Amino acid sequence: MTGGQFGMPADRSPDMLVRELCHDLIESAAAIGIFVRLADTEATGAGLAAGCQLRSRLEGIAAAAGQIVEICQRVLEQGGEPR
Amino acid sequence: MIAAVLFPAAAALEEPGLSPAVRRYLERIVWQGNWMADMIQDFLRQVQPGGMHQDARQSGTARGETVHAAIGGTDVMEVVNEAVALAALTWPGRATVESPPAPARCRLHPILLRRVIFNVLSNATRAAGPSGTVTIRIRREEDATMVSVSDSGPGFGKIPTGSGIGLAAAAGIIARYDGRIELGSDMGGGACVSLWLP
Repeated sequence: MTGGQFGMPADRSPDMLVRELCHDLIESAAAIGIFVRLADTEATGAGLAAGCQLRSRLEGIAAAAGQIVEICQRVLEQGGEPR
Repeated sequence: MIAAVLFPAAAALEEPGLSPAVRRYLERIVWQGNWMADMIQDFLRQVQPGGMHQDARQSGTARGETVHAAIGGTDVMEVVNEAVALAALTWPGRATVESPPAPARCRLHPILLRRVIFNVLSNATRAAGPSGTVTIRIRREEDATMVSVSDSGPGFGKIPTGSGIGLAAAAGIIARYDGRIELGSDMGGGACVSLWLP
């Protein structure tokens, strides 16, 4: 293997910590969006039971996850390039 | 807002007649929701005055992590397997884990180790692409556990996407524990990230 060390200071500014948190929250919220789609496809294929609230619950989860992504993206866009 | 993820997911899990696959996805959603809450709590601890992780035993309450840390450090293998299993749900490529027979532990708090591993693995799967491979090797060194993540992608600097924040976050976390990250390329030309975890 070739390469070198990638160093970052252990003490990070709160601003940097917020950006890192938002980055990781986006990944996690995006994964939730994927799981919602997979669950919905699976449930549709299996035939949803009458009176089942699964779909509306999945829609609610997807909306919340989408809002988290949107807020975090806004934070990252405001911050400019990583420092 | 995380409650708006967790509550309906928990309620959906109570619905009768769910298929095993739907149940599994809902459980993953709950896991991710809890994981986001853990990350936020960890962030709040850090930004409090004097609130860095002085000791892994001082923080982390979810899923028995206090006990986990108290028995000699965080199980690296467990976190790697968790990350690989999650990646496999959304990434169709092939991931291989090579590990020692004996447990490999490190001082990083489980929440922080997860953030490190998830970020590095996420970069690797993205670089490898849907038909690529990612190899994770874990080995025990004298005073640290070494985790190397190599992918079959084109190597560092050859993919236009990515902000670099994930890797920077991983490096910052590891630096807090006096560990280090090395970036390089493996023999196939793909990227290789080596993590030295004290």
